[in-house]
Amino acid sequence: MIHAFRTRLSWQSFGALCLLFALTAVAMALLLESISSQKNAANYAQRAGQAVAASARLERLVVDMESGVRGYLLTDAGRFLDPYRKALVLYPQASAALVQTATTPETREKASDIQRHIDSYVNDYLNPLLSLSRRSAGPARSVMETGEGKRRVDALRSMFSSFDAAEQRLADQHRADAAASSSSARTITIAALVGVALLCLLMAIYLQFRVINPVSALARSAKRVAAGDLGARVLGVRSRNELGEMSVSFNEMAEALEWNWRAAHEADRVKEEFFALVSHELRTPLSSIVGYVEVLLEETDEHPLTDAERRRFLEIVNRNARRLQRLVGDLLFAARLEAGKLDLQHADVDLSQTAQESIEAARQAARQSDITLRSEIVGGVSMQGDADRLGQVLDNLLSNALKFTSEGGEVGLRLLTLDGRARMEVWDTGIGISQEDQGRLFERFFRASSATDAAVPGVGLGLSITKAIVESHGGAMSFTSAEGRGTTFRVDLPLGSHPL
Amino acid sequence: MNAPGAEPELIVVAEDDDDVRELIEFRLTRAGYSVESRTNGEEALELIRSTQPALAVLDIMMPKLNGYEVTRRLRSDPQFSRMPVLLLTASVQEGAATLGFEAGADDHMRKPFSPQELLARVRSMLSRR
Repeated sequence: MIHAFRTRLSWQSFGALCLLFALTAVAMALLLESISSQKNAANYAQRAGQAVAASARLERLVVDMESGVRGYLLTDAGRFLDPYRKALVLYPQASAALVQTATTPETREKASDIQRHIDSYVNDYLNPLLSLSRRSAGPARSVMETGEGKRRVDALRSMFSSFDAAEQRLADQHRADAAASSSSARTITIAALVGVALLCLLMAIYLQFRVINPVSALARSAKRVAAGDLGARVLGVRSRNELGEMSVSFNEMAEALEWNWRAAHEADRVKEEFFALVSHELRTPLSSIVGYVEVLLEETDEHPLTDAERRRFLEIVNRNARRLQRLVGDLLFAARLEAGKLDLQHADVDLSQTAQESIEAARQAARQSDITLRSEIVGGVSMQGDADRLGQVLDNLLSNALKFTSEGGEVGLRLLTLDGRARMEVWDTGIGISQEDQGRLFERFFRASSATDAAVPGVGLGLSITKAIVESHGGAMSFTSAEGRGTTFRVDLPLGSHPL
Repeated sequence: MNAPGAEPELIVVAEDDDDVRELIEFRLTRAGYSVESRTNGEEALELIRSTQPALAVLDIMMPKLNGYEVTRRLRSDPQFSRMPVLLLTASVQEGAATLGFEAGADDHMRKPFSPQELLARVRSMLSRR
């Protein structure tokens, strides 16, 4: 049923076609009806004409008989009886024909009446009168002079004209009926034709606005999408018929296409940015290594280096080599992580010792940046896991803290146990992380705006790697940060045995 | 190379990596140039406008204003339209050099670079002025 409501366009066009068919059918039926009624009227008029002709013939026979008998009686001339004799033979058939050609029961009744009266006129008046006249002419003449014959003939005449008038009236009436029906049929046919024309016009307008326009709009948008303009949409979709549904579906499809395209584009952009960043991060320490080594090798007697310079340049080369090593390690680690081939050692780890080692490793960098390094490490905290990777977690966090803290600041490491868990905290008094960057901090390749603005080197892998290591040990990572005041990263690790 | 006793020519260096910056400074200073350096594009542009150096060595990937943008802004100023600019790129992208020349740079070096070659290019550009 829902479908029936939704497919309004097909119902509308079906309804319009039905209406068109009905109008045409009515017009055709009326025309046929009018034609048949005209034909009937013509038919009837012809039959009425035959009846009137039959009545005229019969009347002439009656007149022939009457005048023949009258002439014979007045003149005694036998030749006057010739028409009478002829008529006497012809009249029974002519009167039967009159009854037969009468078109209605009413006129047939009149015809029978005429037949009876003629029979009676011949048998009861003319024949006895002729028999009498053969015996003696005198009495016959006096019988004739009584006017009986004239009366009978006059009666017959009036009956004939009554019959003719009735037939004529009926024929006229049929003709009038036919004319009326033809005229009303014409009116109705014209009305039906006008109706059909109007309906066709309405359908054309309807087609234009409800079908052709939406289809062209859809075609235009489809063409634009095909040409690569994924923002193209069908605008102003109001109707909820099939075309409306199609337009809405088209828009949804274009939306999905555009979204996918943007997502693919964004992925490409992120990848490109990553490659540019990695290239930059690899080439920068390499520049120092290559450049300083060249300076050291090209030392000449004219331009000798001081011992302090030589030592400083070697330290720079060393630092940049380590930076390169760390970056390459991170990239390889990320690649293994991506491939799902993170092979972790499973052994007893003395977290207290690992934390101590990480602090010692960070000491030099802290001294160089004039940052105070603090530590509160509880002894004897141990767990199952990969000592090198857990050390990497602390190294990464400490290196981040040092990178984002300016001279004179503080960086600290705390290790304590809490409800059967080891908690490690690395805190700093650095530049902090902006509110909008906090949500994306652990995303691979993401770099906080504070990092890029301050030109802190990195490719955005450290934190995502750190988190992956912590989570693979069954642990969890979180942080709190205030812009301009500092950041604290927290790592919680389960102390008991757990599957790696 | 400068004649002894003459005022040394000033070169402005913009590079965000401390070690690389120090390397360029060392090499150019030792060759007798006076060097002023900055760690981002914005400050470098300001310095160039106020000191009007003989030449600028600009890293491309720098915070605030990148090397292309600094070059473009310099070229839009008639005062600096002919000052030699050398760009340093650390990018793998092939178009990096083209982009640099389009921005108006005179020369381009890809990292890692030889400090000796950098010096040679600087000298060549300064002698051609």
